[in-house]
Amino acid sequence: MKDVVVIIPAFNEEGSIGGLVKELADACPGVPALVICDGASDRTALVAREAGATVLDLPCNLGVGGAVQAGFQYALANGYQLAIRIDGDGQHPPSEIPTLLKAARESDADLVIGSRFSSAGLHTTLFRFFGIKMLAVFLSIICRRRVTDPTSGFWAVKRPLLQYFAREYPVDYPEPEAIALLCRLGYTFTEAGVQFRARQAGQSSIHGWGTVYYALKVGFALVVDRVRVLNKGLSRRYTVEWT
Amino acid sequence: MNAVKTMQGWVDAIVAPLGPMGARVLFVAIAVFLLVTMVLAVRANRIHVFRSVILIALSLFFAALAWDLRLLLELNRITFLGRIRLLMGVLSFVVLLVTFEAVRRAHLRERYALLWMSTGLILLLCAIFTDVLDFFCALFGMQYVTFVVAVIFTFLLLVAFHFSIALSRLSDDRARLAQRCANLEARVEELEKQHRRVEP
Repeated sequence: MKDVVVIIPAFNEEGSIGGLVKELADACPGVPALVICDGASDRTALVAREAGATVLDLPCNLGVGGAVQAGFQYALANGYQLAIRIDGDGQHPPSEIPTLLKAARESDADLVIGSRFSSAGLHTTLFRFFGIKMLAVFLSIICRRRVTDPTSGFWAVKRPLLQYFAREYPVDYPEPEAIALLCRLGYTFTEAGVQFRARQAGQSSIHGWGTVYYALKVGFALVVDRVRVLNKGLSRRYTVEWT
Repeated sequence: MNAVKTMQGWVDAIVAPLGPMGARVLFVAIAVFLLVTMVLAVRANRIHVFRSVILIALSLFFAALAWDLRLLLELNRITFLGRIRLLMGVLSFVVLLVTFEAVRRAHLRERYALLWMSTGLILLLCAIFTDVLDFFCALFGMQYVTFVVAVIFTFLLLVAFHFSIALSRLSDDRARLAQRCANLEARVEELEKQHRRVEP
């Protein structure tokens, strides 16, 4: 699996990142791990490097969108055909990566989303569950295609889509927006059922009033994305040619 | 009107106890003091042209007061509207001068100065051409003062919006720079590793 890289955005995750990188090496031997340290104030970069990962150490905090985009740029520049993106808090188990890889190899979609709702066993609160479901319905209508887990960050991204994401990627809570945008540019996606687990350290960045802000921000962004001026030069027709 | 009476009271309070002659002496003293301060500051190289011009204008004003005390009474008789025009004129000059100074010292880029400059100019126009403004006031059903405030508010809004856009662009640029920087760093590390392998 020389053409696959695993992208892990991490912000102050020194407690879990080392274990995650080692777990990854066990689950998918030979697959390089790329940890993007998003301007963290703790020893995330150091711990990840010691665990054997390549580290992109961002000089300032860009938010998860900017961090993941840096990872996509790395994957593109270093000639990888496929980038797997998992969270740094350990809620996406590396043991599920082969499932995602298999789905990516079998399907000709540009993006495979690991969905926690396509299979049994989910780790989330009831409130958040309904929020995600509402977002899923909304996004499904926009994309004219069924989306069950729009907020999942467990992705497999193929090279044509990497070309697009390396140039343009949403900022704050990027996943639902990115899905809506890639649909408009002619890329396709599919879902694969995977098992999530509870985060191993730290706290979700979205809690309390943040949930309301998240819903409003993402809802507004999705509406704007419908009419956003897009760079047609980054649509699938062209990026497939470059690749 | 009460305020005007209070003003009148102040003028009387200054002129009456000193007598006309005393008041003149006082104003001359102030003017001379200002001029001397300025000259000293210029000689010690502690002052800029811009500030010395203001000081000269102030001392000339006091000198004129000393020349003819009726000027004080004339000043006192300026109408409500006139006072606002005066205030606006001064304000617009301040805005223009401060903006110009900031550009001159390269604290402010020209493109951002343009909006501030036009704010100052519009203020100045409002102060000079009241007739034109009267037309707009009638059109929008506003009083002169309300209209002026509305104009100022609109321009401040434009400036703020301009800043929001500039800020968004800056943070985008910052993200690109940080990403490129981190990618290059990773590349350097990789090259160093290879280099060490070749000549240990």
